[in-house]
Amino acid sequence: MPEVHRSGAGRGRTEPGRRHNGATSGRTVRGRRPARRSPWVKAGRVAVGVTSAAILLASGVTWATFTWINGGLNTSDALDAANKGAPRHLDNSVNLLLIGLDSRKDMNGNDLPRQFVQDQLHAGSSDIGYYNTNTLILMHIPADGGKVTAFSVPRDDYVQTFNGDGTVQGHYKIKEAYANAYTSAHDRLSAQGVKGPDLEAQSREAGREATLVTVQKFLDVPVDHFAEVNLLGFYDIAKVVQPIQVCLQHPVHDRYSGANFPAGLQELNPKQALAFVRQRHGLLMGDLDRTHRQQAFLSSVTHKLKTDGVFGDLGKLQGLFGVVKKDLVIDSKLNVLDFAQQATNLTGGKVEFHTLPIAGFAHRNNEEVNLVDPERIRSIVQAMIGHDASASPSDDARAGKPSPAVSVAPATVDVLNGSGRTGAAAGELRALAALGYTTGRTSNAATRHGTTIVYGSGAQAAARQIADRLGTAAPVASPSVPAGRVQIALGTDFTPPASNSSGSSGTKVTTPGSEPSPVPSTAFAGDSVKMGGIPCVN
Amino acid sequence: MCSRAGAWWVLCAPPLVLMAVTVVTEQVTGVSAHRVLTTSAVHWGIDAFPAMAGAELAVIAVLVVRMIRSQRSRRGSGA
Repeated sequence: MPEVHRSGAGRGRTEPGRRHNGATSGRTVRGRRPARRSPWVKAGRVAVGVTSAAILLASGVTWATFTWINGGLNTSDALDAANKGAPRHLDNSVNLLLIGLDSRKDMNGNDLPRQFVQDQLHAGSSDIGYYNTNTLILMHIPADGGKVTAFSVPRDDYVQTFNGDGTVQGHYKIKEAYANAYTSAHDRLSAQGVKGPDLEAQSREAGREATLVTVQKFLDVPVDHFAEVNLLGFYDIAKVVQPIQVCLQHPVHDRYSGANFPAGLQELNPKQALAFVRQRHGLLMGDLDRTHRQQAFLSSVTHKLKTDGVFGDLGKLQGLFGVVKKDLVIDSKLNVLDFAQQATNLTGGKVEFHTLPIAGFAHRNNEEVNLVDPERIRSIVQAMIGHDASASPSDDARAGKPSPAVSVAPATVDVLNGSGRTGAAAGELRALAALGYTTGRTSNAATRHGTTIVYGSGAQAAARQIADRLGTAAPVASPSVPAGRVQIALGTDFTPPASNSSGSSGTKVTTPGSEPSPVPSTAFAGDSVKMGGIPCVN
Repeated sequence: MCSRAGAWWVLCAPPLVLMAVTVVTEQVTGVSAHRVLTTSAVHWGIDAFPAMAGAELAVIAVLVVRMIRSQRSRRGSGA
């Protein structure tokens, strides 16, 4: 049978057929000797092969992991609606809103098992909590990888709340924006025949949009990304990272939240962790102390994740994601990888939490609320996370806007209650503590008409600020008051200030242009919490 | 088509070529602008892998088919 010569022959390679037919041994069809490959060529081939295989394998593992993580996340498009009327973004920084939902329901709107809610979450029945956003923390991550500034918005702040389309809901606690929008959407969609998981998902989406718009308008900053977690999600996360070390300044025992801890450093299981961040009864500053607990908890968790090497270990990250992705909702624009890069900024003491100040307490809509001065809060936020001036030199709206940087003069404040109203002294002392004054004692006094203020040596400035705040007569120096103390005697004419400044107009500091200016820590409610360790809190 | 040595290079080429193309493209288009090197590298891997895997499978398929055809043809020729 004649040999078939294929077109590929004759390219310099040895042709076995010809060799076999008696062609000069070891010669090619063109008469050349077979090239003896240099060891360098062989080594090169091996190196290229190994490199190629390594790239293929590494890419494959990364792709598979990313697909697995990204594939199971619950995402929301609520930002699309919220970003329509958002304030302009003036640089490449990122604002991330953390939303902690007080819901005792799963993602489909089903009640969590009663026994679990009562025993593990210590959260009463599934009817309590509804869809209030009990935690609202705005994290500002600068473009240059610098310090992250986080603001906790007290959940009871009485503000104008909005729906996702920008329409006004009215004046409510900021935590109620979500629930109000959820309820409206739920009723409307139910009437249209939407049911089951779809009804729940769409109603929650309305709640998210409302919260995003309300926070954006309240703080006058755009929200770029958000993450929402509910009670169950928090519990699950705590379960993965347990035991979590926290530190308490005082022992606590609270039957409402189930918090029963000694003072000092201690390790918490998930059930205790939830009690730790939910306790508000029995704390001097009530809800504001609870906010500090949440900040301290976040710090402890990031500290633990870092010391355990979770951020650098894909396997451990997978384990964490496996648990949280069923309960966590993030916005659809959040790139998990880019966020993971930014998340490294959240460790190593690069984050500082501040609690936005309140102006006092009052009763509105039959509830106790925090009164706030929105203008003051916006200016504080702008001053703290002011944008890169070079990015928007012509932003007239902001240029020349005063930065409030209100500082309170140092003093310890005692409040005597002569107003005849129960709790007035404690309420006022809490409000003053929230402004940054050191809390002294409260006690009852004989009922009197006028509110008076006396002060000891060195406390004149603080006394004047407080007198301005309460609208009383000028404070009087008194040798009977210890140095550095201010004593307020509330009279029947006392009414909690409806809106505040911490005191005299002379304490306002104006900053030229839009340059960020530091705001004194006394402008915030209570101490700021710095992430990177285990802060000791009330 | 190509020798065994050539087949080796063809087999090794897709991951290297596609990774190079991905890196250059993302650098030129500014996709990697605000990322640190580690994050960029992870992105390159994720973005390049589907094409990389596809190309590699195609190459393997072609080489296998060639090998089978070559064996059949040798058998057919009585070699």
